[in-house]
Amino acid sequence: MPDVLTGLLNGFGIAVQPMNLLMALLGCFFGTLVGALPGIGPSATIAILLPVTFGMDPTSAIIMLAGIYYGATYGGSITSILMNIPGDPSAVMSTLDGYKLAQQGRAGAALGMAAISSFIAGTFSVVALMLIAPPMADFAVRFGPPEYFGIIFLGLTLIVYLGGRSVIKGLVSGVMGLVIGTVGVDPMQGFGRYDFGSVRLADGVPFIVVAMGLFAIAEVLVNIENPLKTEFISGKLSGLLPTRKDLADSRGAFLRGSLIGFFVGVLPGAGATIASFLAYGIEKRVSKSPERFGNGAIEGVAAPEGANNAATGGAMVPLFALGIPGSSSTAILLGGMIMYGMRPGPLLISQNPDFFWGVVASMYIGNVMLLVMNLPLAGVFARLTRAPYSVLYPMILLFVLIGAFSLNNSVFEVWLVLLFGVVGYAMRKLDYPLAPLVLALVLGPMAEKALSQSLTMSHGSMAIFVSRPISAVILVLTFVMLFSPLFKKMWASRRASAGA
Amino acid sequence: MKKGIGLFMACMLAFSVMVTGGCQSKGAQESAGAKDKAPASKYPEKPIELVVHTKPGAGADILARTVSDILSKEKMVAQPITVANKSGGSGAVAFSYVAEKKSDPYVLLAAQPTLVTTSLKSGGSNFSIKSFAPLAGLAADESVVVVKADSKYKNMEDLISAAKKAPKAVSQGGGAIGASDSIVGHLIQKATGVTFNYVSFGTGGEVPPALLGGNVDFIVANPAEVKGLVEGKKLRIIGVAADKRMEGAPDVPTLKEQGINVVYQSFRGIVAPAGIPADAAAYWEGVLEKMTKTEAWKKYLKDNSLTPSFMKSADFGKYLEEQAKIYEAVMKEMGQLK
Repeated sequence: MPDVLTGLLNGFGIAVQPMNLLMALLGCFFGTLVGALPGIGPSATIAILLPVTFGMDPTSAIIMLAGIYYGATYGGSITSILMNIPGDPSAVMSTLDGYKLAQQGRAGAALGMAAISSFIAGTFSVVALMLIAPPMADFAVRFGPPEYFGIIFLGLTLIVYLGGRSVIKGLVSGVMGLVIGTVGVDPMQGFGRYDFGSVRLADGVPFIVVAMGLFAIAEVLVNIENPLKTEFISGKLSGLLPTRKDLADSRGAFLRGSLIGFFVGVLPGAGATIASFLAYGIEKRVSKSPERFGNGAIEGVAAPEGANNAATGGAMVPLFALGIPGSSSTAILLGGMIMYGMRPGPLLISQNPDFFWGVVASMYIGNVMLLVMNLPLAGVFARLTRAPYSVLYPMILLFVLIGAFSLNNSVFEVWLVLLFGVVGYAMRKLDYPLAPLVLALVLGPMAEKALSQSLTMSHGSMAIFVSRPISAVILVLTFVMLFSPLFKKMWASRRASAGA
Repeated sequence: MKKGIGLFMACMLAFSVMVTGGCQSKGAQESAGAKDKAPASKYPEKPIELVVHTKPGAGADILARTVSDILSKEKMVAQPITVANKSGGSGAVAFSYVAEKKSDPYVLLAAQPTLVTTSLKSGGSNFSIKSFAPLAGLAADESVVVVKADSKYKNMEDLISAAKKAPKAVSQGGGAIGASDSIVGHLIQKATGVTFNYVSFGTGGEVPPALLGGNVDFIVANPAEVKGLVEGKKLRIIGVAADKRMEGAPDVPTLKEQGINVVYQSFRGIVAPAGIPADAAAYWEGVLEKMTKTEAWKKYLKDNSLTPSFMKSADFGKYLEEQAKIYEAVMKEMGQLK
């Protein structure tokens, strides 16, 4: 413990040097901006700015790049909430309740809650990173394919909770997502599936393209059926910040979001996106009034936003403790560290303590900066929602089309996003929920990969899922969550008939 | 007033989208920071694009950035060199992009074995190994066999005799089938007559954790991928697929020494689209050779555990043709090619 304290104090000493403070600020600012813009994600930005940092002190450089990373996970929520456009895959869940809140005039509360939740969870994950990184990393590597499959399977079962009124429609939407997820190269054998021979589809349909089309473009299409309002929305913008009640309601969400986010973030290969899915689903599942979710429940913003920020801290755990990148953004950070001559690995913390503690301390500061920057801005951004639709919708289309093009500097993705816009429009008109589709699109391919790997490891035997302790626990948990309502009902009716 | 703010914010957002959309080339150009005046009639006269087939952070990307960085810092090239990442399709996106730029001397490509394997697989599409003009081979990346530090396999003999007990008794973790590590695994199986249980993971980054967690028995990797973990005593290298032992790891025996005749090196080099003018090719050959003599390059080799191996363009070209033949045969054996 004393080691940690001295290290941390030393780190703060480094982090508050003017250059490093500036770098943290720049990182948070750019990160938020980039996160808000659909299409350009944190990994692309980090890649672009990496060469700019050559010649700088490595600690300063990584401070800025890390700031971009967690700034972007917050930034994605801005457009999610205001315009139903997820700026980043990890922000998709925030559209469900966040946008509804904005439509109810409570955009400020939603944005503010996102900022607060991100701060709490982000700080929690930095504390955890600081205290338990090495043992956490050692535990995380014990997660092999069967355990990953368990977690992903758990995520997939949560689809039933995203179905809204009709569970069947939710399942249909989920299956559509699974089917779209099969497009691309087969993970085990390497041949192409449904890619129409096109090299473009070899890696599958890009998630962000589907999300932008389904959510944003479809939203515009649905709304232009009504006469467009050309004046500003009248009526008060109630409360530019979350109320005390909001904060109190969200206490559980803060805790769950932080824990789920950090833990999922630690697992290499699982990151902010899955963390936000799981957090939202579990929040809804344990809520006493789940019907509010999807209609403007403030916890529906607090949980996923907290989780995706906690996941960034979690992703740093394998990076610093073992030198293993858990996501594409951390892979770039790793590349940067190698270029600075550092040797990422278990010895990094002991060989470069100044670097590690400097970055950790700076992450605390960065989280505070994000909060301070964004709380006041929440009110300013919220006023955007009062722009007339005749201005807002063309702008949304502009963002989305540019975002789609910028993915690969090609028009192919633009056609794709338009296609999914039409699909999303059809789904909205026929009242099919969108969230299960995107959830299944992300989780389906991962589940398939984990399943094939597990079965290869076990030479075809399904027993591997229960013979390994962690995997067995996860599966039990999943079944409990799935079937407990049924058990409760059976139990209640038994007691009623026994008592009668 | 409120109206104004709303519209203003909206316009600001739209403007920033357009700026950042165009930001890619802008930002990177500013960063290369080389001299901006070139003698008017000499090549190169325009900025140069160095294409990489991976996302940022991967080995090929680091190579490209190191090359561009050294060349600009040491002022060896008068124009800025921009690194352009075009990942996708196991490199097909980047390779077809460069192949289409026939005879354009302002586009270069960082080359690794993936160039050969993907070119072979994409039969029918618009590029083959002949679409590229070799400029220079720069370095070679070794392949090492790695196990957990506390594994019961202390050397290759232990591993192979366990594998001989039953087919698929020993598991190897690696990338997609057709990637370098799967090829080395295949070659070892051929040389020793055993069959491994190959478990494929997606991106390279997922492979070392699988080994650390005890989910597979061994992996084949480039030394740089496992350096940190070996030094941290979590993993151990039990063999290197080379003719002689690595300088940085003199007590690791080669596979040959242990009775397994397998040698495999991943080349790292630079190519250009076919048909570029001879003086451009000669220019790069000269500049790259100079670069390999700099201290910065030597440090890069050491930090990444690469073996120096400079080849001029003619030799590199012959080498690539040989590699293509070897890979074609191996991939047919592995069922990756008809």
